[in-house]
Amino acid sequence: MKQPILQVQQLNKSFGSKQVLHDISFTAQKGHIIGLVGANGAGKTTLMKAILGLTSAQGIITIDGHPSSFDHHEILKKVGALIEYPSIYPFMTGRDHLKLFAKGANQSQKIQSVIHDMHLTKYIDRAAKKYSLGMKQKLGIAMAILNNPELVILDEPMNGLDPQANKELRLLIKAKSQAGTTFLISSHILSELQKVADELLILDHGRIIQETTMKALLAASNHYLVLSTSDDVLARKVLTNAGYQLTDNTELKVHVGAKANLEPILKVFEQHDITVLDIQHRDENLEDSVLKLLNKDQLEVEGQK
Amino acid sequence: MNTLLWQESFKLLKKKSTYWVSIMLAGIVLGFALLSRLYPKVFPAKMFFTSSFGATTWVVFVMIAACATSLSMEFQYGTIKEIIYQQYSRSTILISKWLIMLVYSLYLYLMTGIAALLGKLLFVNSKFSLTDIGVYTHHQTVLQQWFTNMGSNFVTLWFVLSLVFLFATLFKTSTTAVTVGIVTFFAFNVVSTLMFQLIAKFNWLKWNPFNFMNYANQVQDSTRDALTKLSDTQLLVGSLSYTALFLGIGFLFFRRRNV
Repeated sequence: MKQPILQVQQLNKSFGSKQVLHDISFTAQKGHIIGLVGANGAGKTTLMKAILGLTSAQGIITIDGHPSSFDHHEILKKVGALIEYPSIYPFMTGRDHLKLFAKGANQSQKIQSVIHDMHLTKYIDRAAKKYSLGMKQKLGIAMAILNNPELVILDEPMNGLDPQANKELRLLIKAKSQAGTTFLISSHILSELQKVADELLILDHGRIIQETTMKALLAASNHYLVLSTSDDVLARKVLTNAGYQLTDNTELKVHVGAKANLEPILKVFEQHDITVLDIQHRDENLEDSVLKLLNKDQLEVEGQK
Repeated sequence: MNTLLWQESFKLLKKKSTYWVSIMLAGIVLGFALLSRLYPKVFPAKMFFTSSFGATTWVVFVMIAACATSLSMEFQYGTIKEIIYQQYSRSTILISKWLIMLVYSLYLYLMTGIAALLGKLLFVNSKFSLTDIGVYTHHQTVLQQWFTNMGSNFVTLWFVLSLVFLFATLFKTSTTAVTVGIVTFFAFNVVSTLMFQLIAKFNWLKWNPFNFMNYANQVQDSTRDALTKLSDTQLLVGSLSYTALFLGIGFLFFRRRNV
């Protein structure tokens, strides 16, 4: 197995008597996009900050096989990040920011390339204090990916981005991950995260409550058929009698397995002379699955009290 | 370290205030040189020249603000995160800031010194010669006294700046650090009378840090040792030691600082 780009083992962090990270362990393989999901205060930003040596924590953090800590983190030269909000000097232009943080060989080329990739050309030579929230966010992301890092940590990167910029960012992340860059991304915009992440870490109360792939999580989620018939009242009755689970009172929403078989449903309808007018598949999305998991965890936490 | 030094100087040079400060300081120096020509009784040229026409005091203001903001702006703008998650340690980050501020303070002394020489040549060249015997010191020429003043003031400047850096590492805004610097430097003259009375009563109080602020004054006026109860060398070594101590405490705080 290839060496992971990031390995976190038994990471614990407390603020005074309040423990905010509990034995966090996970691994990020090269070229993967990992979504970090959780409610406000779940510990996502603290975890990212600990990986980046911004905040002290107990545990082992290894980046590309090298240990990284609060005091010694030379290996962070392989990492780019955007944490909380873009770090901008108001008295400098966007291009100055890129010049300031560009490192290694071909700096001008790296700067030009990131300006092009992030579509910053129009305002890159303007003073950053005049930037809108979205412009600042794009500059922050540009700074994170500027030096072609092997690991990119992005905390809420979609904040303030318009739909077009969101799409461009998604495509850029996908392209970079295919070229071998690993991304650890936290986001509350789960619909966007669903489109980009291949793996998920779901964090609640400082603990990882689920580590899974996006595919597995969505496959395990609920699937429904929403039907429209010539007689919905009768249809509801016959489906219930036939053992189907209907989850909604306003529409004819039938809970089915991952691979829904329509034939038995249609047979029941035929027997009762019901005509099907429309069928729609409706699957739980990432948001539904995550909320369900978080609610379950919340109930367990409350049960333990 | 070289990258950090380059980054620090890049930021300093990108600030418009860096250029305005230089222009204003040069203007003040030349302005006071002109006043020395116009009102020689109020502004005696020979004496005024030895403090670069008052520039050494103005440089204190500028450097207090520059040192306080060089650190606190990183917290204010959130850029401290960007700096720390580069590969460099917190220690290297802070040392690079000290070094750039040291170079900046040397530049300001040099620039105001050149402006003072220019002011002398343009406005008060006939009033005195650099080889004349100094005003207070009877064994030094004006030129020697000028250099002595600049050197001793520079030591006191960095004593104050070490306190500014200490408070800038403790607080996220520059206000506290600037206030501490200004109060230490300017309120010192107000409280020094009381301090000398206390030193006369309790000899051990001569080792309190504020007494070392007298270094520049005592170098210019040797009779002060009766008040400070310390020799010039003791004041110099003490000033440098306190400067190192305050910088060291700030260093320890910064090394452990969570962001």
